[in-house]
Amino acid sequence: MIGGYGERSILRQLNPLTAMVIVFAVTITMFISLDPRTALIILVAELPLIAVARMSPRQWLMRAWPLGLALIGILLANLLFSGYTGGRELFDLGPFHVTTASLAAAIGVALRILTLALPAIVLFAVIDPTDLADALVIQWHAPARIAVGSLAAIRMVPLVMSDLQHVYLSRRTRGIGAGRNPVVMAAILVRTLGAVLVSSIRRATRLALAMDSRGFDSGIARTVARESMWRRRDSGLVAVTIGVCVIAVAVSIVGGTFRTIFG
Amino acid sequence: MPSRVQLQGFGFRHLSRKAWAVRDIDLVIEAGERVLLLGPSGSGKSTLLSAIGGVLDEQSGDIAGRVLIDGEPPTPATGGHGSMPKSGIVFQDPDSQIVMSRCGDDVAFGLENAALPRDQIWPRVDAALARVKFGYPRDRSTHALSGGERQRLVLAGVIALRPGLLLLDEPTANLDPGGTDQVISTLRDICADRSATVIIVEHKISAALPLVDRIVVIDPDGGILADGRADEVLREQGPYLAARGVWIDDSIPYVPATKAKGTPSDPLLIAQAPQRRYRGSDLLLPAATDLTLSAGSISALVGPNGVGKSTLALMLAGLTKVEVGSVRATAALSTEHDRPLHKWRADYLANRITAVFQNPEHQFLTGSVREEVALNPSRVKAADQQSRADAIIERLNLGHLAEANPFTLSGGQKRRLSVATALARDPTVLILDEPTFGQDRTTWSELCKLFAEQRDDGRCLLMITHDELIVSALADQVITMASCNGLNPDYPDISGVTS
Repeated sequence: MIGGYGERSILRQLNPLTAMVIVFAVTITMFISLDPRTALIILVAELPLIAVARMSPRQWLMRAWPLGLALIGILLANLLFSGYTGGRELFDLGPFHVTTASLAAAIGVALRILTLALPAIVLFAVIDPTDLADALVIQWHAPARIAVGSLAAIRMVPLVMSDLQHVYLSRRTRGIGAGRNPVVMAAILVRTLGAVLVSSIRRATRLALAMDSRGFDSGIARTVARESMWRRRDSGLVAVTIGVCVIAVAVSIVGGTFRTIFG
Repeated sequence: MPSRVQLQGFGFRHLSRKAWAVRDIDLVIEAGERVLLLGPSGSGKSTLLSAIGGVLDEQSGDIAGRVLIDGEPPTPATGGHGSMPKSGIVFQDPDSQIVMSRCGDDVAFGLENAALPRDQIWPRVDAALARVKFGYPRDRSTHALSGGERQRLVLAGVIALRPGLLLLDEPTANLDPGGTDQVISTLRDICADRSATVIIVEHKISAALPLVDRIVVIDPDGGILADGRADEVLREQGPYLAARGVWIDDSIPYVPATKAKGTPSDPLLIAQAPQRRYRGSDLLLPAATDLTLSAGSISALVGPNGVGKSTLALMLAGLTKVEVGSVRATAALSTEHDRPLHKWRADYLANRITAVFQNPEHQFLTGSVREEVALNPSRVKAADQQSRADAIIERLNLGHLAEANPFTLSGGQKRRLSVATALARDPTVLILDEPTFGQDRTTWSELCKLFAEQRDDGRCLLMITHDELIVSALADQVITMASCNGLNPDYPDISGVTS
């Protein structure tokens, strides 16, 4: 799901495609450079995003908990199982052997993930899906079938969630329940998901019918009711993003710590 | 320009069926006429409307005869044929018709498809929203609307296109009386200037009558049962049509002889202000309500949508946890009455308390009507089970559909099937959400009889309903729920299960 958060955020005034470009540029840079310095420079540059997102702590929690969990997992895995054995020994217990080198490696990986995820979390939480679809159609000439179809699908997500719950409860009230047996529980889950799939397809068919009856995809070149502007601030922000990425890689190369997955 | 509609020997048969859903329909509807389409449950009203609107899926069955709109076949809705459909359709369920997440954008959707330039779109959107008396700004979220508001939004999206033919398939289905009034009064304004030919399918006949000039009644056995000026048809053929199952007025068609008034017997479920948190917020739903459900009684739970009736029903049915307050079973209902209901084993629970939900499709588990009703691993012996199932199927006029797939039934038939599955299990407490929805006079009366028999057998029934007729025919106890403070009472009624 995208959108719905940070309603007063100035990020809403950006073209959604700017957000896409920023996320893409950071992703590419994190792929090119494995150096934690590159990640650190970009992460520092990203920090203002946190301030301008205008998200409440609760919204942060909703969006960021999977990242938090992933970071902890990655940190531990790299700390305990990475091959780095150099540096001073910090901790040794049987197969677990932690040194300053493995700690540095773990922090390096976690840092890159964080740098990668932060703009994605903020920007996708704040940009409005309708605006994104409009921008895709107007600026990038994406097919309306796909852009508007995806929008309709996004609108249906909460309805499908409520279907899921209703199907499960319907089964229970008809005497079909798992009790405490995990095998039966799994079987029921599969059948419930099957039933939800059926009801989702029926829902989608009805929606498609209603869209068609209002002339969608009738072969007429469709207009877009809302404007989507690419402004100077969008170009500026894209330039700044690319600039920061280039500088971050350059610092790493000049400092001699540059490593890449390509070499 | 209003359109002229012609049907010549029209018929449609579902692929999986031997019998025609609708057949031998010869009908001319003149430009600007306003027609109420009636017929018994399953007579093919919705199918006919879909065919006229050009949205009948030709892959899904056989079509006989022809449909002509202004002398031409209806523009098929699918496939890039390069022209806009002439008709606008409003279906029962607004949730399956709203495309966009902001109200204004949703009305604009059709105008975009019609390739209207941007500067012309918004005045048309505002005009359409004003015509349906929509009180919110354009950027209102489509999720934050009541049922009546959502249906009016759908209507705005359709009339913004200025169709020559307006097709309305039970536009007030599942709306509470307030929402129904909203939609009907909006329709009255829209229909008044005869800028479009209007065909409406609607069970709430007294609500629909002021909207139309003419009534056409479809015969489930083929052809047309009655056709003419609305008042004349009702005056001259009323009793005949009523005998065929058609609603002709708002009188109660059947009142059971025994009504166990004022004789309280064993309490089975005792609820003391049970509440749940609304979507993880601090708000508790529904407003504190105490009630006792007793053996041999029928209770009705009434009130506007969104006040938490379904939430309360789910707690009473042992399907969701009671977070504040309590729902207790008595020893008369269960030996496990000390345990909370939602922790009961599913089959143990279902033999004592069974619920029928608003959307019957969620409850179907098998591929045929007969299997669906016979599927109840309950106290009843296997042989008895099948004969009991067959008897219920027959009484609810589903006998000719015993082998049909539940998903291919009409709306009213699906509803009866879901009620039949619950009756076949014969639980002590039966909780029914809108059990009479989409029923004709005959099937309504049969449901009413079945419920009364259940009561006489000492069972306990709770109905959540907007159907005032069934309440006055059956209810021994009416629990009226009002909105609790802090919550937008208009919020869509899906609150209870999303947590």
